[in-house]
Amino acid sequence: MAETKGDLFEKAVRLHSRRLLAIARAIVGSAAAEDVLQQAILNLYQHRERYDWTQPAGLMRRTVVNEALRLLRQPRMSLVADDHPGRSETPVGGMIQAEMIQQVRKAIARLPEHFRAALVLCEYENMSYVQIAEVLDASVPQVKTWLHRGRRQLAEKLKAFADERKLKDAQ
Amino acid sequence: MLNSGTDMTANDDDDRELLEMYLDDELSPDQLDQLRARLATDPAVAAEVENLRSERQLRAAMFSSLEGGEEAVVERALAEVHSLDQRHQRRAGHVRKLRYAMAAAALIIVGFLVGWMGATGGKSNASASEPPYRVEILDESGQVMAVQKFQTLEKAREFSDDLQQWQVRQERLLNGQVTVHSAKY
Repeated sequence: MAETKGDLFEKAVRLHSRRLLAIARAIVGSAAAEDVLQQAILNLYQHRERYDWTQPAGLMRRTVVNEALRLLRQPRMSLVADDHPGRSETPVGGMIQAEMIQQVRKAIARLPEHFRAALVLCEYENMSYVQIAEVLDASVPQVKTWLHRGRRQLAEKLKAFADERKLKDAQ
Repeated sequence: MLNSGTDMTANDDDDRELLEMYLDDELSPDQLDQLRARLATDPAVAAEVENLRSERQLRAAMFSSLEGGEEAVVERALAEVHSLDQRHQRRAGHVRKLRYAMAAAALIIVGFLVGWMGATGGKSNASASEPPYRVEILDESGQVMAVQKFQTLEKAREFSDDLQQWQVRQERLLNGQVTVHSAKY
């Protein structure tokens, strides 16, 4: 028997939710990310008959990013809360210290929301500038600017942290 | 030439943007050729690429650290979706039953007929002592469901007008589900 749109929807949710939740966490922080993913799933479900569920990754990613940005635009929502414990093992293992990763998370949380969204889509989802522009409803030059400024601001913040750390070690 | 750290000139900043585009795989073939030539001859540019690569590696590790714990969220979301679905189906069932009930009620009065039943006309079984005017309520096949008799044409018309108004209201409620099959006067 052929799968219904409801079946395909559920399969897609289970298949992509790991990355979708990580994207939401990168944009809105851990506390609100679950709400973002849940609302995105509900939104997709309500319109499931409209969509082609054979290639759902782009649609789901766009829905999560839009929901995350919508949440951040609400008056009371501002900065990312950083309470996700994270995985105990990172891909680069012991080469990168957990403390450094924490600093990167804190630094990213302080970036403007569109810088964060562009960065996660570019470096985590490996999307092209054109695709990012489409998801974020922006132009390609805007995306380039957001990425460049975001990376520079991160580098400055991390450099300040590294300098502070060196100073502490020296004392 | 690129300097280390954040003490950059405007050219350094442009260079960094170019190198970021290189790592993002967004350079045109011409730009790529030019950059490869520079990388082969300029150690500072090559060093900066390595610097940007290590920054990126750190961010990749950070993004990976955000993964996990999605199972519970997905189960909650799908439970909510299923619950919505059930509520929707129950509501649809109620609406369907209500529509059937209203349609059944409306079909009783899908048509009405006002006729003169005097001694010289009308139905064969009408007697001279009966009120001469009657309103017949017909179902959709034209069968008489009920009869109301009146002494005057005005009263019969008044009753039939009331019925007609009632039916119009029913039709509106049913949003076009019922049609008038006959309305004779």
